[in-house]
Amino acid sequence: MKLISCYIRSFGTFKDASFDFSEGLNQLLCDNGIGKTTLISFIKAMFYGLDYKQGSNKFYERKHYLPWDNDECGGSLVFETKNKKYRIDRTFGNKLNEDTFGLYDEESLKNSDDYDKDIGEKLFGVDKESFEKSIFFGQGNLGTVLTTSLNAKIGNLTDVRDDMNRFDEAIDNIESARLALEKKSKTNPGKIPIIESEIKACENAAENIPVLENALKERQNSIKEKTANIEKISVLKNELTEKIKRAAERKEKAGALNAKKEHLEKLNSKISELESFFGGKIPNENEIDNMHENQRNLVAQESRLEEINGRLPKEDRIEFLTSVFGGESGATKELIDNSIELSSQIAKLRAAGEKSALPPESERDLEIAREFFKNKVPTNEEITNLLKISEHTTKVKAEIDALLRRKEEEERNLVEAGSNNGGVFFITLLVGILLIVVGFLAGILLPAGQITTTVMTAGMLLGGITIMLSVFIIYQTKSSAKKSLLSANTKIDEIKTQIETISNEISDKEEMCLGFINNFSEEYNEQGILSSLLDIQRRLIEYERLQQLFDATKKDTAKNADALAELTMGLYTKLEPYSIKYGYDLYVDNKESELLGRLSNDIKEYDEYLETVASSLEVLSEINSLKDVIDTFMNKYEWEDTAGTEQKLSYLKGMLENYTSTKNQINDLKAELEAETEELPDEGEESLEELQSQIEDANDKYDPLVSDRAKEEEELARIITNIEENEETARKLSSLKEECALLKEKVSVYNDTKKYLAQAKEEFLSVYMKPLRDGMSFYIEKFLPDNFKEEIDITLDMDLSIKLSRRGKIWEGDYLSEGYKDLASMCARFALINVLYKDEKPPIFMDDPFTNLDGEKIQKALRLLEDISADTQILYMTCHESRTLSGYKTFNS
Amino acid sequence: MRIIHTADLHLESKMESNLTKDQAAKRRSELIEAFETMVEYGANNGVEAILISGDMFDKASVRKTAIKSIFDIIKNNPGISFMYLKGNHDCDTFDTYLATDAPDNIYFFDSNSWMSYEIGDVVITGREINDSNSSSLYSDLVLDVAKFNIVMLHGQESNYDGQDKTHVVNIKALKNKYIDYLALGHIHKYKMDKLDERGIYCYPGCLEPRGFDECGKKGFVLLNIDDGGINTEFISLQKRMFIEKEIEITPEMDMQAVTKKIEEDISDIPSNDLLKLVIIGYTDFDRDIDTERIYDKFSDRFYFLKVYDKTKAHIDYNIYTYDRSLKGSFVRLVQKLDLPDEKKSDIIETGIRAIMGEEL
Repeated sequence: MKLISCYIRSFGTFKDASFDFSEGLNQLLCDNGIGKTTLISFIKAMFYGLDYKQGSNKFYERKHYLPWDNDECGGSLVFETKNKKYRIDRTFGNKLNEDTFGLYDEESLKNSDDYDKDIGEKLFGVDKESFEKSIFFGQGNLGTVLTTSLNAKIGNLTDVRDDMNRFDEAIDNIESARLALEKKSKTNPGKIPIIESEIKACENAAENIPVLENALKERQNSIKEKTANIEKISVLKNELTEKIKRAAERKEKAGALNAKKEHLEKLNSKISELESFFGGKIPNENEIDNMHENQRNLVAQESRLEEINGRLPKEDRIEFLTSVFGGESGATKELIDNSIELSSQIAKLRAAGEKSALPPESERDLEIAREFFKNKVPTNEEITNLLKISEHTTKVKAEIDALLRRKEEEERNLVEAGSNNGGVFFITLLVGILLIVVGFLAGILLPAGQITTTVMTAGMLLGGITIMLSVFIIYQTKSSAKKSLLSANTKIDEIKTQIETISNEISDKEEMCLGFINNFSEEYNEQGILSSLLDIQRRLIEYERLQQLFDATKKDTAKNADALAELTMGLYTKLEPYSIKYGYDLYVDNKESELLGRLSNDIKEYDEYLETVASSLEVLSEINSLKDVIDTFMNKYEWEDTAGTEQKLSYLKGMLENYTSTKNQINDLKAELEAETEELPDEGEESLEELQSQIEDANDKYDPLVSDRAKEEEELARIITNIEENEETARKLSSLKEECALLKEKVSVYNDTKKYLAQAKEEFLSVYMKPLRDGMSFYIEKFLPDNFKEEIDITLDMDLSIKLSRRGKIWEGDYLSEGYKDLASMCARFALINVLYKDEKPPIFMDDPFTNLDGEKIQKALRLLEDISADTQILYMTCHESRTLSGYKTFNS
Repeated sequence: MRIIHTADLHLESKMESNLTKDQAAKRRSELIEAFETMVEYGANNGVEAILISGDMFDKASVRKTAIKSIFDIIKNNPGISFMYLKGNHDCDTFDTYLATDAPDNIYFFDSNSWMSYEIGDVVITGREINDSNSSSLYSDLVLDVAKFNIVMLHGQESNYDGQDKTHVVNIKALKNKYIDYLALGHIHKYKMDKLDERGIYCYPGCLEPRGFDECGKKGFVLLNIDDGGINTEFISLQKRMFIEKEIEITPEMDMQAVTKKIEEDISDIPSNDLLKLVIIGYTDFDRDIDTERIYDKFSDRFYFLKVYDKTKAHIDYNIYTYDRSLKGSFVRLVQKLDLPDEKKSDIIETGIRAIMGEEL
C-alpha cells in the first residue's frame, strides 16, 4: 500500500495544504512546530477518524486539531492498495456524529463501498492504537509494545483473544490459591504454615517422648535400686528385731526370776505363821469337810426337830384323841373299817328302797291316764272295730263327694249346651241385613242402568239368603240343646239317689263312734272321728304299760325295809360310845356315815401324832451325838473370838487352804526357779541398747527410702502421664503430615501449573514470535559491531521488550546504551511490521525518531531506512539536516 | 490339652491418628478388654495355658492401672498358666510392678538361656532374642524328641539372620529341632506355615487392630493337642475391625449416584467398625466429590469414618489435540511432560480451572 497525495482543508496548523508522496523514502525536513506531527495525525485521522474523548496522547485530539476559526476541519487522502486507488474524504465536527466520511474510486471518482469509515482497521488489520504502536514512530521513541490486537493479528488468532486475556487472571487465580495455602502472614497465615506449626508442636512432643522415656527408665532403675535397698534394710531390720526380741526376752526372764525369788521368801515367811496357828495339828481337808458336814447336819437336825415339834397337835386335841383312841376301850381301825362296811350296806338298802317306787314322771303320767280313762277303760278290740268303721265311713264320704262333683259338672254342661251357637246366629243375621241395605243403597245412589240393577238385585237376594240361614242355625241349636238337657237331668237324678242311700248308711255308724269318743274328752268333737280313735288307742297302750310298772314296784319295797332295820340296829349299837363323844344321835339323825368319816380322819391324826413323837425323840438323840463330835474337834485349836462353829470351821478351812496353797506355791516356785535358771539364755554380744540403737539407724535409712520411692513412683506416674500427653499430641503427626504433604503437593501443582501455563503461553506465542525475532535479528545484524554480535544474542520478549544473552547470562534491554537500545527497538519495530503486514506493506511514519542517537548510529539508522524503503514507503520527518539522507527528495518547511 | 497362642497385643498403644482423644482412650481400654475376653474364652473352654509371644505392651510408659488390670485378669484365672515372652516393644515397666504384685500363674522367659515349662506332656520353651544371643540361640536349643514341644520366640521370620538380628527369627535354623509348634510374635497378621516334617509355625497376628494398617480379621490361635497330635483353629473375638473400602466411580456419576454406590458397597459393614472410604476413579471435569457431604451422611453409622477423595478429573486429551488456544497449547504441553499421569492430570485440571476462572 502507498500514499499518493493528500489535501488538508483545515487540520491543526494546516489550512488548504496538499502533499504528494513518492514511493520509497519521503523526507520532510522542517523546524519544530511547523506540523510534522500534525501531518501524520491528519493521515492517521483519514484512516481512523478523530478520537472524541481524551486518548492515549494525553490530550483531547479532536479539540486540538479542530480549527479555531470554525473552518471545516478535514481533507482528503489518496492512496493505492491492491492496485486500486481510493480517495478518502473526511470532515470532523465538534462531536462524533458531526463527522463525515466518503470513499471514492480515484479513477472513476465514484463512491466506493469497498471500505466504510473503519477503513483503517480493515486496511491494516489493527486498531488505531496498534497502528500507532506499529507503523508510527514517535519522536525519540523507537520501541513499542505488543498490544492484544497486535498479538492477535500476529497469530491471526483473533478468536482466542479472550483465552489469552485470561492468562493473567488465571495466574492470579492460581497465585491466590497458592497463597491461601502458603501465605506466611502472622495475622492471616495460609493453611500450610498453620499445619506446619501444628506439626512442629507434634514433632516437639514426639522429640520429647524419648527424653521422657529416658527419664522414665532412669526413674524405674532408681525405683528398682531403692526397692533393692529397702529389701536389704528390711532383712537387716528383721534380724535386729529378732535379736532385740531375744535380748528383751532374756532381760524379761531374768527380771521375772528375781521377782519369783522374792516371792518365795514371802511365801516361806507366811508358811511359818500358818504352822504356828495349827500348832503341829494340821488337819486334813477331809476332817474339816466332815466337821462342816457334821455342823450342817446339826443345824439341819435342830431345824428338823423344830419342824417335828411344830407338827404336834394342840394339847386339848391330843387329850381328845387320846380319850377316843387311847387305852383298851379306844376305837380301833378295825372297828371303824367294819362299821364303814356296814354303813355302806345300809346306804345301798336305802338307795334300793328309794328306787323301788315309780319315777315321779311315770306317776304323773299314770295319774293323767287314770283321769282320762275314769269313765271307761275300753278294750283294744273295741277300739280296733271302731277304727275300721271310721275308715269305711271316710271312704264312703269320699264317694259321695265324687258323686256330688259329677252332679255339678252335669249341671254345668246342661247350662253351656243351652247357650252355644247364639253368636253365629247373630253374625249371620247381621251380614244378611247389611247385604240388603247395600243393595238398597246401590239402587238409590248409583245411576240407573244395567249394572246398578244387577248390584241391587244381587245385594237384596244375598241378604235374604243370609237371614234365612241364620234362622236355620238357631233352630238347629235349640233342638240339640233340648235333647242334651233331658239326658243330663236323668243322670243327676240317678246320682242323687245313690248319695241318699250311702248317706243313710254311714250316719248310724258315725253316731255309734261319736258316742264312744264322748266317754273320754269333749275336745274330740272338734277333731275327726278317725284321728280321735287313733289318739284314744295310743293313750290306752301307755296307760296299760304304766299300770303294769306300778304293780311290779309295789312288791320290791316291802322286802328291802326288813333288811335295813336289822343292819341299822347292829351298827348303831357298836358306834354308840363314840357317837356320844362326837355328839351324834344316830337313831334320830341316821348320820352314821358322817361319824365314821370323822372317826376315820381322827384315828389317822392320832397315828400321826404318835409317829411325830417318836421322830422327835430320835432327832434329839442325833443332835446330841453331833454336838459331842464337833466340840471335840474344835477344842483342838485356840479360839479368841466368840464366832460360831460354822464360821470357825470356814476360817480353819481357809487357813488350811492357804497353808496348802502356800506350800504348793513354794514347791512350784522352787521348781520354776530351778528350770528357768537353767533355761535363762546367755547374754548376747550386743546389748539390748546397742541393738535398739542399730535398729533406729536402720529405720532412719529405711523410712526416707520408702518415702523417696513413693515420691519416685508418683514421679513415674507423672512422667507416664506426660508421655501420654506428648503421645496424644504426637499421635496427630502422621495425619497432619499427610495433610501437609497433600497441601504441599497442591502447591507444587499450582506452581507447576503456573510454570506450564506460562510456558504454554510462550509456546503459543512463539508460533508468531519466531518470525518477529528472526526479523529483528536480520535488521540488527546490519548495524551492530561484529565483535558485539558474536558475544551478544539479542532477542525479543513476548511483550516486545528486548532481552540480551551474553555468555549464557540474560540481561534486560537496559543493559544496552540508550543508542543501541533505540536501534534494537527500531529493528524490533521493523520486524513487527514485516510480520504484521505480510501481503502489502503500509507506509511507515517516522516523526524524527533518531534524536537520541549519536552521529554514527544515526547514519546506521538512516542506512537501515534506506534499505527498508526499497519495498516500503516511508514518511520520515526530522528537524535537523544531520538526520537526513542525502540523495532523496526532501520536503522542507 | 488346650492352649491359646496370642501375641502383639500392644496394650497402651497409641491409636490411629484421626481418632479423637476420647475415641483413642476408649480404644486403648478395648485392647485390655480384648485380652480379658480371650482369657474368659480360655477359662470357658478348658484352656490350660495362654502363650503370649511378645509385645503384650507397646511401650515403656505403661500406666500402673493398665498393668494392674492385666494382673487382675491373670490372678482371677488361676487355672490358666500365662507364658509371657517379651518382645521388642515390651519393657521393664511391667517388672517394676511385678516385684510387689506378681500373679502366681505367670511365667517368664529371659535372654540368657532357653527356659522350659512342662504342662503334662507338653513342654513350652522360650527365649528372648537380643544382640548377644541372636547367633547362638539356635544351636543352644535342645528338645526332647519324645515330648510335644512348643517353642516361643518374637521376631520377623526370615531364612537368614539378616541385619537387625534382634528382631529376626531364622526359620531355617529352627528346622529339625523336634519343634511341634513354633509360637511366634511380631507380625500383626495371622500366618501359619509348615516348619519342617514335624512341626508348624504360626504368627497369630494382633488381637485387636489399632489402625488402618491392621485391616482384616484379628484374633488368636487355639491349639488342641491330643496324643501328640495338634490341630489349630484361628478364633476372632475382635470388637471392631478397621476396614478400608475403595469406591470406584465413573465420570457420568453425579453426587447422588456416588452416594448410592457408597450405600450399596458399605451396606454389609457392621456399625461397630472403623471405616476408611477411598473414592477412586474419574469424575466429570465439572463435578467435585463432596467428601464432607459423604462424611455427614455416613459418619453416624460407624464408630469412626474418614473419607478420602482420590478421584481424578476425567480429561479427554483428544479434544485438545487441535485446539489452537492457550488451553490447547497448555494441555498439549503438559501431556508431553515426563511426569506421572496423576500429576499431569492435577496440573491440567488446575490450569484449565484457572483459565476458566473457577475457584481452585
